[in-house]
Amino acid sequence: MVCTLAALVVSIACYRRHPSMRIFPYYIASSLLSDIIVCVAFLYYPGDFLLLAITSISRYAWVVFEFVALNLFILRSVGSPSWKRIIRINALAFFVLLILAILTIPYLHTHQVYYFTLQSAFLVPPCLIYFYRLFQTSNLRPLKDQPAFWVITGILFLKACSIPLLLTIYLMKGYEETVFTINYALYSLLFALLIRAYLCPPSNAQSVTPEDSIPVSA
Amino acid sequence: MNSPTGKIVVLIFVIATVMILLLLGFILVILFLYRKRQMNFTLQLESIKANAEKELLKTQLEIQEQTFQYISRDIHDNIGQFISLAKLQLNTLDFSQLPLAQNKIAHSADLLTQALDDLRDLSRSLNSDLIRNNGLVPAIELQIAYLRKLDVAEISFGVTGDNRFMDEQSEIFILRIIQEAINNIVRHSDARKVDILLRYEQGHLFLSVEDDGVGFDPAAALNPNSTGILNMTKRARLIGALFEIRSSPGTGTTVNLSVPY
Repeated sequence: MVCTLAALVVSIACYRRHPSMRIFPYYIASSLLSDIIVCVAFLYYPGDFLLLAITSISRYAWVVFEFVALNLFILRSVGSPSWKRIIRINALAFFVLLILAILTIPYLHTHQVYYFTLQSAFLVPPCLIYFYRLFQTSNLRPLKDQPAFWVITGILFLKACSIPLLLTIYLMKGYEETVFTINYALYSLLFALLIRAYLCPPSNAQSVTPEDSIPVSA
Repeated sequence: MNSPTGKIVVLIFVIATVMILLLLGFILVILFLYRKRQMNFTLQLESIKANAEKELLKTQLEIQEQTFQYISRDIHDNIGQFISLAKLQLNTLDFSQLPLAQNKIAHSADLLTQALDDLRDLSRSLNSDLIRNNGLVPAIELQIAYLRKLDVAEISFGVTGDNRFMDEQSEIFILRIIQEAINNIVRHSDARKVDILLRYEQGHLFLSVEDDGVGFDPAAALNPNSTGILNMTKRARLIGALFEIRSSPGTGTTVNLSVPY
């Protein structure tokens, strides 16, 4: 929670510093709101049907919103039109599978964690594409001064580690809370890296992509 | 610490530490690899820059060499001939035949005047002071006046758009390109009509020199011996201009030049 609040404060304070990161204050605020709703529902009103419905809907909304926000940022960071097309196809595939899963697999309605697993699985490839393109082009700007590097590293780490954790959560009877704690720790790492990204010096260019440079052969 | 809660706390702590170490390791590896690649890229860029500067110097020296050749040719073919002829006339003077001698002296004076005019024209064409003091358009008008004096073809010159002073180097090079184009028209084209148009447009200056002469095959003309066209191409490249020659045998020739401001 502390990390989330710190990231929110930094993202609002540095809102104008990096135009490409303007989605993140909303992302962090949504994450905070979603956590608060879930915490309040389960701590103070366990079993309340309306709150259960609200938390359920907020989870669905969060899965979609998080995917859209992070995917958009990665899409902006990868300049190559052909790779952008692949990322868009990946996003389309995610939405199609998500809708199919909601409509055809009733089991998932009570095991919503698997939606997060699906979302994580579809967020890892765009991150890998970003790193692949990073080494396909050359940029004179040091990597540590590129906000996209820090953010996408955080996203990749969070989502890649989430997949095995969330897939096995129901196999670890009695350890579900531990798994969620680890998941929150991963989110804290992401927010810490977001703070680091905001501390990068502002760029003179409109966008800061690895593509704003000369492509060199591998 | 032996209680289940204690074990869970230890487990979470260990997993969190491992995650942080993995993340740090990943970041360090990527930063190291990227930095190595960046250094190679910087070295490549420096090498490209050094090569480009070498090419630029080479081009400038070639242009200078061609200018010297042009001067040498003009002096030998025109000025030298007139002076030689005048000298021959004066050497064969026979004062016993006064009227003939007077004719020869008068003819020699004409030849020397012609030589002096040519020398003056050559000097003026190579001197960039006219551009420096008056700008590109008066310098072009002078070239056209020279062409009209030769009575080679009917020449028209038009300027459209708001006149803009460009940097001196660009204007000198544009003038040299026009001079080269005019020389080619005089020497090779047999043209009866020449149209020169200068258009000052948004962001660039557009020049066109069009004649109705015999035309030629531009691809065939691009050989090392065809220094005129190569000269024009190199000069255009030096000022970042787009240069184009459109011609084919029997259809005349158009030289187009687009120079950014």
